[in-house]
Amino acid sequence: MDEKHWEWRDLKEGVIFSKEGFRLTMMPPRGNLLLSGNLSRAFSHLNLDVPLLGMDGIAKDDFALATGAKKCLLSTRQRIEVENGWFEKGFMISSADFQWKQLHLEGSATRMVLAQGIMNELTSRSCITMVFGKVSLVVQSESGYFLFVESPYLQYFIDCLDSCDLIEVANSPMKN
Amino acid sequence: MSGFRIPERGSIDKNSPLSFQLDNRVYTGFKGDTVASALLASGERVFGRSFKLHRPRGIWGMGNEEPNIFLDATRNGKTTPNLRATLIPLTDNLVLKSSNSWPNARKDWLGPLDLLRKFIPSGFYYKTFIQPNWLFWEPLIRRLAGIGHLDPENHPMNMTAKITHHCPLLVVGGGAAGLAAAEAAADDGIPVWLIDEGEELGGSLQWRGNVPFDMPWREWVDRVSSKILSAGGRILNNTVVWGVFDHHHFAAWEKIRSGLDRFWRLRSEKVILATGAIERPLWFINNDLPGIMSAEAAYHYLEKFGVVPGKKIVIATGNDYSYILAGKFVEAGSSVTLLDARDYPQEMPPEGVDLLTSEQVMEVQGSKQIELIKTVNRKFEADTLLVSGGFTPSVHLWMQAGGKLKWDSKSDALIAENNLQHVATAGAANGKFDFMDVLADGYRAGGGKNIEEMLPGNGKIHFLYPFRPNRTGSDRIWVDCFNDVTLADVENVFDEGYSEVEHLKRYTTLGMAADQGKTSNLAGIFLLSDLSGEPIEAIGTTTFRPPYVPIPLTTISGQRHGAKFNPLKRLELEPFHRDIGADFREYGGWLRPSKYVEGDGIEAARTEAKIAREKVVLFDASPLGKIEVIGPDAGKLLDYCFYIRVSNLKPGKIRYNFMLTEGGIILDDGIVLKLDDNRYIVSASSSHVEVIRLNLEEARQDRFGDSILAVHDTTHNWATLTVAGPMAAEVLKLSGLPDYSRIDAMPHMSVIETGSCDLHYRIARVSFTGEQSYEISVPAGHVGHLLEQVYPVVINMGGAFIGVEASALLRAEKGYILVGKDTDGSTMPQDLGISGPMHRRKDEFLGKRSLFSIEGKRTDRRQLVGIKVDHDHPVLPTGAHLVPAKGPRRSLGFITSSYFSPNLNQPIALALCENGLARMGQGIGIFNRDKVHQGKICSPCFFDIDGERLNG
Repeated sequence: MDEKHWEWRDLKEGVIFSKEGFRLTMMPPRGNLLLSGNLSRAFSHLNLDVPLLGMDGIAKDDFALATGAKKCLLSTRQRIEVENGWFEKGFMISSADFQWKQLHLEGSATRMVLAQGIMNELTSRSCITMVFGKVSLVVQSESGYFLFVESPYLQYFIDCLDSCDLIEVANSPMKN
Repeated sequence: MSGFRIPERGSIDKNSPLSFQLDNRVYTGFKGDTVASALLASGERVFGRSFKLHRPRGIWGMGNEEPNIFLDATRNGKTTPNLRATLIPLTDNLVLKSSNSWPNARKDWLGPLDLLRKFIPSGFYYKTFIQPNWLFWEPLIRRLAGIGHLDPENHPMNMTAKITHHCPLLVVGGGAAGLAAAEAAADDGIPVWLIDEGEELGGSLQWRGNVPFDMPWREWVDRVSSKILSAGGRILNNTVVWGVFDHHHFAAWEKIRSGLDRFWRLRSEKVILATGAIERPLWFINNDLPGIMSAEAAYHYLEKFGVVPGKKIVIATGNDYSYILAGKFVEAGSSVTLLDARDYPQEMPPEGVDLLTSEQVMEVQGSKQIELIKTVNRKFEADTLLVSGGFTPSVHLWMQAGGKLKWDSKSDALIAENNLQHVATAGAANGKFDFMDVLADGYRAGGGKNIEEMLPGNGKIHFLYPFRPNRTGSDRIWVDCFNDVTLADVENVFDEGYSEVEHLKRYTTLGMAADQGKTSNLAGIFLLSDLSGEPIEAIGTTTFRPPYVPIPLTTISGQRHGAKFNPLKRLELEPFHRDIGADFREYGGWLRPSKYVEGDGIEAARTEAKIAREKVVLFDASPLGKIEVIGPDAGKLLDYCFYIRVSNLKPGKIRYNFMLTEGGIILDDGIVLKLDDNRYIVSASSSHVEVIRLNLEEARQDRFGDSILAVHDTTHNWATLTVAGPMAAEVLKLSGLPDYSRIDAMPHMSVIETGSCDLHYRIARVSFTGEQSYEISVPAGHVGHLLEQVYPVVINMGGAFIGVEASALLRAEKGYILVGKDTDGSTMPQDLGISGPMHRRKDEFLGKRSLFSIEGKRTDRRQLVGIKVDHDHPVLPTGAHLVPAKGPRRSLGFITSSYFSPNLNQPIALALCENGLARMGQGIGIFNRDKVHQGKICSPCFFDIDGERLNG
């Protein structure tokens, strides 16, 4: 491999590319917290009333995405400044604002794009799964899908998404 | 038009002529032709040469089963090798080159090889080319054999989209059975995916023209297509399902002429394989001569392309299905003689056809094409012999899906045993060859109801003559035309003891490679059955493996090439590193700077390492793990998972540690930081973060399930810059970091958190270089700010960034290990001289039991040592074996890391050496390429042995 010449794209917030049937947007940084334990108490502590997305529900504004038993990623429009660590009420918090980059996929070919990245059949609107071989979070939005990718893989994901076949005929690996 | 074109037949566009070349000769065809149909229409016969004996070959089949004519096709100056003539759509200005021939297939200079066939039977290569060795002969053999030629200028775009799709029902094959199955399912509202390898649905309906449900077949196809689409299904033409893989994964290659191909990864709740059947050849002397064709293929060329293969046609058959096509060739103006092996055929011969019963072909004669046909009692002059030796159901995908086969004497074929829950076969693939039976079988497979009423059947029972190759020992009867395997070959290898079908395949190559036994497999089985006296079902079949047809490798790779082939993690500061001249390489899944100084990599690392010892350096350590373990039981979890206890650490302290496997082997080393009593950070090595997280998570779930305990991997949330060197403390002082008084007071192996909510710093005083060193971590989005704080100060002090290579050199000077490099799959902590915890700890920890196993207590374990040689000695080669300095030579271990230390001005090396700790100060030999170097075993720590600089 010739790693010296790997392309580096300077990526900024906003539309990264827009093609017929597919538009990819880098979302502004959001607040991300990893929560474990008693999630409802954690939400109360944070004074938040957020939906815990999984089988159903569409991401709007602030939301939490279940990533395991008693675990979730809380994603908010604004960063939440909160002490990290263990809380006696039975939950744990770690800041992860920069752990993920948030992309928004929209357009009529979005499902086909996801079908090129996701091999398994998903029964949820939102989930943590492998996308293009890497652990990612897929969250259905009102107009498409949010894709949370681990920050160091952002360049890779943009390359993959940019080279997808944009036919608009496939069904979706996601629940409609 | 040539005399072999029938103007009133065929569905090609005869108003659009196309010209093309084969072996520098110009041919013409029409839009809609394949290369095979256009070549047949030329009236010529020899279009290729056989793989081994260079015998002249003509077209046999009509699709993927074609064993004879493989061509290198050049379009727009780019050549694609090894394409079947039957599968190449004709386009203008196509330039073709026949395989295995020079200068051309008509006159091949290697044709006389055929005369030597008695001397080069199967196995000849294995027995002959062992002297002096195979490599001596290989170039010659490669020139003589091999199929097409790769075009080095042809770089196909690796842009095939790989698309995953899930559907309730997948029907493979768009012939009558597949269409019937799809229609039945679509009637039930099931969104069917129907896949067919042809340009057009219909399969053999396209030439046989059967009338399903009293309507023209095209109308029926349209009806089925509409139903499929209405039910939400999809039809993929020009798509071949080429393999079945684990977890019900069906791989399909969609060929798109005007765009990029697609690779469909299909998973379906149910799959119906309506893949049809392939007509079997017959076995007689010279049965590979040009002019001998599959009868069904010839019918297909007549009705689809308006081409007759010859003027004087003999049809050798043993079934009723050949009768109709005999009549069609008479209609097309050819004379036709029908030889039926059966004594009492069930059909009347069509008008104009001479029928001879109880007749089988024994031999054909001709120089480069068929001229004379001999039966036991008769001779016939003919230019074409169409044969129908029965039908072999295409069960390749069925077997790949895990299905078993059974012998069905009625269809004289191996058919699916239908033992799979989610996969079924239908139609000809299921041993049903009569059209009405095929339709009914398809409807049944698709869940159709009232089949008996809808398709009552015609009551016909078709008797198939069971043709078998006779054991004549002839080396002029081909059982595998693709691989040039003769009947004599099979008999010979059986006599040599290769009596199993898999052995037969490998020794003779019968059924191997692109052919996959489509026309040859059954012949081998029949012969083995005959030779061994075992029934056919006891012989079994060889394993059919993907791909069913040759597919371009670009189809498999898809978009995974270049940076997408092996995706690496990219540093937040990568653009900055590039700006200051970094060279990048992969280290543990990250793309990281290997060096910054221009020029030779080794020299650059030495230069950077000297700066680290003399001044101060920066190192991007962002990939280091930052796994947070949080909760009241966090200490217990870590005590269990790590070799050295950490729960007894005071908050703000750090401990170097190992995680072991259950076998006691060192899995990773790293440090554990205790931030407070309920919160720890595990700083795993860069390439082991994921496995360490998984181990922690597994232990949490297995042993601490009821605890309030969390493992949060926040590695990517942070970026880390390491400041190291004698001036490191000064850099931190001048960088304007907050809370400097606390930083200044930090002892080695301690950690503080400081800063504000907006910019949080986690500073760990820990060293991988042996120098005073601070790892400063900030949330990744703020690393630019941190860089602005420390980089100018470092530069002003004469410091620089160093790459991973210099870092590796520095740690080797100190004897710090890299797990996986300085350890192997047998290294335990005691092999590194760290045996205290295993003896002191009374509690359970991961891998403990194995440390006290017989293996763990062996006195000859390989242990980490340093190796010293003279100052002017060359750097020792990594991987070189350690041998006794005197006496018999045997391996005592090997060099794991080796460098020239610029700071010590001498070569240094680390090694794993048998009982090494007891050999301190002893001489040792280092064996490499027949030369033994002399060295001395020493402590692995070469530099600042007392650690004064570390703690300074």
